[in-house]
Amino acid sequence: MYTELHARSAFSFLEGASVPEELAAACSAHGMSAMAVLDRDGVYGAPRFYLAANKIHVKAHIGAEVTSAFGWRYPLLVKSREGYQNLCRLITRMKLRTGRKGEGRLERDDLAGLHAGLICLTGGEEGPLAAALASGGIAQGTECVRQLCDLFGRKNVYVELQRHYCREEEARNQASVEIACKLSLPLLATNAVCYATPDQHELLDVFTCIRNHHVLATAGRLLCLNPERHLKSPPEMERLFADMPEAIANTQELSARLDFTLKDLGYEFPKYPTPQGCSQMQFLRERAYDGMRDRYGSENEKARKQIDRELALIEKLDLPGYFLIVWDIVRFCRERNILVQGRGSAANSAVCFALGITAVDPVGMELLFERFLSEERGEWPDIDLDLPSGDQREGAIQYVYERYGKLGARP
Amino acid sequence: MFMSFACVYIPDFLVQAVVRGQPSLGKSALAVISGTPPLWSVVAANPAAFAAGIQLGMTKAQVAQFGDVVGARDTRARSTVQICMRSESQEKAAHAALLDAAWSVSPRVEDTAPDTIVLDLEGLASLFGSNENIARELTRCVAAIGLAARIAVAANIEVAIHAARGFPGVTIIPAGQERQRLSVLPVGVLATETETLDILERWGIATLQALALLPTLQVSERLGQEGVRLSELARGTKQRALVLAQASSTFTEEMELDDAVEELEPLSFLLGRLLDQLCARLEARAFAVRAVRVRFELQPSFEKDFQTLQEDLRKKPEMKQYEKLLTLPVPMRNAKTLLKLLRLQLQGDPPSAPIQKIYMTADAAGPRVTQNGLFVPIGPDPEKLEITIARLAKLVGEGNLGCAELLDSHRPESFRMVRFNVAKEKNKRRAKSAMKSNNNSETRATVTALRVTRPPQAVRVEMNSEQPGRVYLQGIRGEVVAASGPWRGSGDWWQEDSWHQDEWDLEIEFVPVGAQHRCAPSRQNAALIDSPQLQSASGNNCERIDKKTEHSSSQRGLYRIYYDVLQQGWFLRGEYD
Repeated sequence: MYTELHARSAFSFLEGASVPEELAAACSAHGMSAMAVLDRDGVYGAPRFYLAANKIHVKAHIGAEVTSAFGWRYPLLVKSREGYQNLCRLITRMKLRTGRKGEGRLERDDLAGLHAGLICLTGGEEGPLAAALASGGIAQGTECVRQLCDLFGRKNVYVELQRHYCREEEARNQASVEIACKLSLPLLATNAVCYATPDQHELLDVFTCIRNHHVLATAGRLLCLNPERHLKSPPEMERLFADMPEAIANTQELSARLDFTLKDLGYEFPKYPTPQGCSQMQFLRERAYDGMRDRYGSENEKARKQIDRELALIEKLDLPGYFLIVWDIVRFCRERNILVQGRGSAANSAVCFALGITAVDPVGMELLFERFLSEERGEWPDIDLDLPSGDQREGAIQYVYERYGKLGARP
Repeated sequence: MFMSFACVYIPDFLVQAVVRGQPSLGKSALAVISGTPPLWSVVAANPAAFAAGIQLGMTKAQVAQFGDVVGARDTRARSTVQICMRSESQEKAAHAALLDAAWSVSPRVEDTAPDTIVLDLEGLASLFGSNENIARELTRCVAAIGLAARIAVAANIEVAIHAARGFPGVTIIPAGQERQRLSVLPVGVLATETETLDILERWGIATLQALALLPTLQVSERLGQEGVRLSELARGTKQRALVLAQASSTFTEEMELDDAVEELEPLSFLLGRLLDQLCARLEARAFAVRAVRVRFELQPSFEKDFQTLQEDLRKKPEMKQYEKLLTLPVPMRNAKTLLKLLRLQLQGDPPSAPIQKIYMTADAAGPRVTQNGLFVPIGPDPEKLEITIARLAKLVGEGNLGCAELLDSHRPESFRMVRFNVAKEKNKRRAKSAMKSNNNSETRATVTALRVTRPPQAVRVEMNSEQPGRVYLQGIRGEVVAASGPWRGSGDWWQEDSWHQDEWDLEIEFVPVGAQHRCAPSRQNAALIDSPQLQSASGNNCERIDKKTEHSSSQRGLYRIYYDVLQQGWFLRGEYD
């Protein structure tokens, strides 16, 4: 049974013509149990693809095509949570190297130490193997694949084969098969999907024109030779690779190896540096009670009950660090006479009121805490702070950078 | 050192402009009339016409008593004075030609009036010598464009202008003698209003000397600032700076015809005259022609007039336009060659109605400079080559001649015809030989050539397990020994002529079938041809091969065939060499 492991969504800006939901729906329509979306230099489409695929019981594999310093792209599939973390780090490094939007390049050294949990494919016409074959024939192609094996490990490299009824591609496939035999690597059939259905190739052609600043009449060979980059059904792919059944079989095997989904994200909020011997929860409770005394006085039983209830839920969801960081930012602003005010659903929280983050008494006004934080809803809390524009706002941002690290904070 | 200025003045400019367009008129007395019909009156005449009794302001009817209107059919009635309509287009062209003649001598030229221009002679002594020589050169250049000029050289612009207007031929006025030389001229040479001249006449002031002797203060009291200006002009002391004209690289000549021209012969005569004038102007500026654009205003068709409503008939009928562009591969200045090329173009695609007016514009470029190498074979003369190409284009059609240029498209066999260019061909050959030497020196890759069949030949294909199993080509059967494909291509989906093809590379073994065998496909048969003549030649060739191969054994070859999804048919694209 074939599984498509190299698809591109519209989040590969102007290089993909279908949104993740369309890809997931087409995958389900073809009876495929799983599919991987590898967008260009990002995992932007992954959450939508995961949500859409989850609804129709399709396993959503995550990956990305990461642009190298030489222009070609590493197609990387995420095998585990560590792999996802490494992929995100690689993309961050790549983007930071140029500092310009939409650009980036990954040096080979970047991959050292960040390859764990990742599977590397040799790619299609934009992959490393095609570039090596074009510049130095089979010898250089073999060397290229050998280097990929050294980087990712022999078990984590698959020699990719694509068939779009194109002469040049078939010549590349023959060379790829020869290299795979020489290095004893598994073959993997993919279709390098750029759109869900054949009729969407027209949209991709228009996108190609926009990307290259052409009109359809002058785009010439920038456009695809034929509309074969749609999601093909397993029988169609099996017929296409009838001479290489192992390439089809390996898609199932590789899909089974890819354990990671966005459900296993394992995200943790950053930790607040508490004084020695004091846990984050304990520190938060102390700050909340201190604030409660200031706001409500010591004998407001209703407020105390509400705060205790909220603190219990915060502890259960392991969120004390988040509240402490927001409290820290507010405290910093107050010390420097920077006007700061929490707003939105956070005003429903008595803890936020007690910590001085918001200015509205949710107990007195009988506001509903669950609008802000609910165990059933399974969403992250979101506290918005209003700051004055200009230097004071910048001062607050710089404080967050300095205290929590440049890569751990974002305005 | 005094500055020197030369003024070129064209006397009877209106007459000369007309004669420049129609030189045959210059031999007889000529009166130029203008005005709104039927109130035509004489606005200019040549000395012969004045001698015959013509006066300015005479009506056309009065002049007609002296002669006949140009273009009249009855030549027996023609007498000494001819009447011609004033032509603003010819005046414009004559003025432009005059400026070009001036620029051929000096780069600093003032466009003073339609009949007057002034040149700065600073620095020209090293080129032409004395002021007399410069004046002679100017006379020659102006004569070359078909005009007769009066030329005056002086240290003062206004003095030069008045001397040119007042004295015939060439006048050189040394510095310091301006007042003395101008003194004899009548006050009529001054460019001022008629009322002022009338006042001077009433005062008894007839010459510039008399005007110069009048005290400036009193003249100013009576004639104001204009009086002071005229006084300074008469003394030759009026100073001003030269207002430089901007040179243009586009040259235009126009000709309005009294009788519409329908046939190519008389049209060629007129085009030749315009080309002569253009080339003379270009030569004066050391330019050559890069492209010639000819625009004809055509007579409105009779049918259109017939259908037009009465109200519309009162309006001026709208002229139809016809335009031809002659682009040259190299800049040329030979009027005869240009005329031949234009004639060939017009023969291939003549205008649909008689021609009423001709506009001819030349885009100028620097003349061609050729440096032939000692060991480089001389190529064909570009002018002759262009004429040959134009003749061929007339035979085979404009779009069917030139060099084939591949288009940036996935569509197989997509190309367009571009202009044949010797230089480009030479470069291409050089590049090809360089590539060949590279291939020799480096690793030699296997090159597969495809002998393309144009137009593609229809074949019949029997499929076997989703791939071609048997092919019938030109009546003979071929068994597919090996197949590779399909190689799918499609495109141009946004156009009407979209395409979608599945190509196959096939190794086919053709087996002759006794008497049914006519012609096995062969290299000689698959030719790079697309014209009907050559196709028939190929067909003959096919018959000859038939006789030769009739008794031969089976023939195996590697072919490229394709299935056209839109036409739903199989075709042979070519044979691998």
